[in-house]
Amino acid sequence: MSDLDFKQLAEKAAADHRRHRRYLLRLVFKKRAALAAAAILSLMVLAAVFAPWIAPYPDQGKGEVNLADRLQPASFNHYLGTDVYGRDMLSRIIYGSRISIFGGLIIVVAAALIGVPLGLLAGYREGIPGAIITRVVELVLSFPAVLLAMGISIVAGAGFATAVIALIIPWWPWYTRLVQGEVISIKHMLYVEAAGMLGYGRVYILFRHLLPNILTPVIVMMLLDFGPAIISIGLLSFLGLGTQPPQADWGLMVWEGAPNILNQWWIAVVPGCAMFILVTAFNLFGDRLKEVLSIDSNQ
Amino acid sequence: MSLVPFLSRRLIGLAVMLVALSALVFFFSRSIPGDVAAMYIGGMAKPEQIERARQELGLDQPLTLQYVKYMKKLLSGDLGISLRTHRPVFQDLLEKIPMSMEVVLWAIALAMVLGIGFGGLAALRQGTWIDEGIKWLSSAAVSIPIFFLALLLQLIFFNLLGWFPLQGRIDTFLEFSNPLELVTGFSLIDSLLTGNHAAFFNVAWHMVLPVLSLIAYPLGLITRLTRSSLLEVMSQDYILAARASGIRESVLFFRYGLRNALSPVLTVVGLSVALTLLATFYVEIIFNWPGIGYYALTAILSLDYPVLMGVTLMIGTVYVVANTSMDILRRIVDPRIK
Repeated sequence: MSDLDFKQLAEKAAADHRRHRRYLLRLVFKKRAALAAAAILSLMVLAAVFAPWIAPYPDQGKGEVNLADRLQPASFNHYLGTDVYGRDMLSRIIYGSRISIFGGLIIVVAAALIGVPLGLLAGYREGIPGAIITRVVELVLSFPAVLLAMGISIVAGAGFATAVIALIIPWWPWYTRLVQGEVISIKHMLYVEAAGMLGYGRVYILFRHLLPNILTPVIVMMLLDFGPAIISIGLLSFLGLGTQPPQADWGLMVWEGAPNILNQWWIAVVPGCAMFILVTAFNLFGDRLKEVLSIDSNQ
Repeated sequence: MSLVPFLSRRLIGLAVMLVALSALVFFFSRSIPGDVAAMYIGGMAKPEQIERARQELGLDQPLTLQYVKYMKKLLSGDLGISLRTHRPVFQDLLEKIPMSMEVVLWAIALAMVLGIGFGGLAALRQGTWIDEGIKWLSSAAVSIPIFFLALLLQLIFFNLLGWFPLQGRIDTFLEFSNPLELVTGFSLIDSLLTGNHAAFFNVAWHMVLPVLSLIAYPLGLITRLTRSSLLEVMSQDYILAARASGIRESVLFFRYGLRNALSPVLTVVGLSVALTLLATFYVEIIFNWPGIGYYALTAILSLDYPVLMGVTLMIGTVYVVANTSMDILRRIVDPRIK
């Protein structure tokens, strides 16, 4: 065989791969719930990105007090009513979504960026580096994550940035553990050992053969982690250990609305619902993706 | 590995974890901002008073020495004195733990029974509307933030329907007419033991909404896990072989399927205990329930560090012990684990 044939074969394989990926994506959206979840997610992300243009009262979304309109129920002026300080709830919700979505994104991405390389190392070099990393992972995971984050937030001083960092610290070991397991299970497969025998270096094998094969479970885990990350941010800010007023944050908004729950119920219920919808959408989409991928790998 | 070395290895690991935990908590709490001695004295204190308190609390000594002293005291069950109330933390904890555990244990027990039941039902009726319904409900249960659920339950069951009380542990007039006598600290058990039926029903009635709030997350988690674990077990070849040999479907399901599916579920139950303890922070503040969570939250808000250390140490210990005991239990249930 000439070199040309190899090239053609590789191109054909890549095309097959792309076609297969499109097929999987179609399969994900075949389920209406996943389609609806994806639609909700895109809407919420768009609203968060274009908040200053979408929010009816952008200044109130950022925290401007408007005492003339305190505690109003939903009306055509304020579609979701107003809060204790007379701020438009819809604007607050849209600005608050930035904290939830952005915070969740940072936590999940940072946890993966720290956890995946360590997992690759621990799985590929099972000796001393592997043992050290495994011990550290076990130590961090043996402590309740939100409690650890609360402690860090108390010590370092409450704020959005602290809360996010405080959550990344107990979060990354899950990725290390996942990747380590995956690497150990595939590194003795024939194609990896063959690459080693052909004289390719460790780094090349790591990035060319191992990393692409563990990427799918990592992405699924990231999607499924979004919901818990958003809830965790809310748990911290509800206690005053996250975003500080007058900034809008869903957890903080529920806290601010809690004393009025019996009379002006919407102040706590609206941000609570927003959180619930966003987290459910992420979970539904992640679950469906996982389902499709597991059907695919069983075929 | 046989059971004895396995057990001893796990127990040594447990001890190491607990020591690491206490060290972590100690050094962490010493980096909390603010002057501890000034907080202990309170509002208007003269500098020499603060200095005296500093010496009294041993805060003028080097950190490592403080740590050794702290560990020594810890081993004899002394967790220090609350900066806010000036009461011994250990005593406070002993008083509050039963109040929280009462709610937590109900929630976990119910979540386990219902979760395995619903998960099993969903797996048995895979693909039907029952399965779909259970799937939706359990997804919702793990997606709803606990503080929001608690407020929502108050809004619906107190404000709208009026079925359950808004908050508290017992009605105020009952506290005078039929006061709870302290025997075990668990109010339901105490009221039964002392024949105080009025208090028993009243406390149980107050407990419904807090338990419902706490139950959601572990229930959703256990249901989902039981379903997927069962489906995987039931698709194994040995189930097919057993079915082919004519074993009754109910025996097949319970003895061959469910038993083997339970191992991952047990891990999650262990995890749920500690998560639920943490969730009491939110539930107790919303329902005004005088337990650990309420105690911890007031400590967080006032940076009362001996209390924070005590609570953290306690929850951490529960977490580590629960995980270890579930691992041991899993090994007994599932002999394949090595």
